[in-house]
Amino acid sequence: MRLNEILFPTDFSPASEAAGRVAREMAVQAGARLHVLHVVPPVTDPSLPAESLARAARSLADGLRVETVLLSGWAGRNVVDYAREKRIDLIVVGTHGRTGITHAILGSVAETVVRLAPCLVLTVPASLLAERSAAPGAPPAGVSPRPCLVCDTASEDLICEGCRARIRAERLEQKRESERPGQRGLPV
Amino acid sequence: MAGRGFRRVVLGMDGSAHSRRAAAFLARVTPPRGGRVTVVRVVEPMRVPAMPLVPAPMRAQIAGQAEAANRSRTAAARRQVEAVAATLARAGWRARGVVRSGVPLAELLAAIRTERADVLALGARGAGAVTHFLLGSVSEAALKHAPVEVLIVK
Repeated sequence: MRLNEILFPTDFSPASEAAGRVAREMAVQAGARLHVLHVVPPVTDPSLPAESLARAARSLADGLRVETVLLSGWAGRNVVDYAREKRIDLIVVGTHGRTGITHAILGSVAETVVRLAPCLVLTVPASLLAERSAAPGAPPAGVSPRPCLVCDTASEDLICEGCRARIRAERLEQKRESERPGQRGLPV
Repeated sequence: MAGRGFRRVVLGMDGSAHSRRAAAFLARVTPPRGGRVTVVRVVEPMRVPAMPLVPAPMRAQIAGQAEAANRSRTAAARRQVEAVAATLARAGWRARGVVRSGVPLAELLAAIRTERADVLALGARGAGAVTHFLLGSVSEAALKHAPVEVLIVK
């Protein structure tokens, strides 16, 4: 089975950024056309989202056939209708990975898409963004390395992991010393 | 997943048509280099209540029957996952079948962890009694709780 048309609905949130990356990778691998879709709520000035959409498409376009689409209306329904109309093979949609009330509010578009889509759906949790962008050994993106207060090596925390472990071990040793039988008048 | 497609996949099977379609989809895609699939089927064990007022021989008989049912369900599940794994292996995947016993969602999430999977593939609807829902309860819960990408096949 070939994936010829891949749809990436975006709301420009970090959650959809992660999905965008995956959608791009899938499109590159399958040699598919990538549809980048944004749905503006009804009665909204669409000029601002249009700019964001063009920017998002540019960042994904590199060596790829990309089509940008701006629709107005209810997001979930529009995405599903678009997928049906354009015979989309795969929808890549970001999820916020939240539960409860926040999930009910924010993840509802993804949920509608998953329920009603006529094709394959790949959901990408937002938590993958941080994991993937961090190179092994490097501090996570957005965290500036500053020296550890104890040993002065670069660390994302105030006190680095090694020093924390050492301090904990020292404390534990002190505690053991002070609680040794016979030193507090306990019978030996 | 940089340009690698689906590399380490956990495929959740439950005997439903949708889950078979998920398997068929994976068998049709060209596997990436080193791509592997773990076909997981979770069997919910039948448990027998304590029944303190039931005579001991009858209790033993009921327990024996429940155990036999569990055994035959596990065997059927194993046959299924092995058949699916063989199909996927023919398509070029490194595939193996695993039968786990317990609560479906929890076992699927555990399988993702132990296999260090990056994709969970599921059929949209399960084998539950309510087949007219658009999304099975396990698939829906997996979407909310899985720490990895989830592929829903219809």
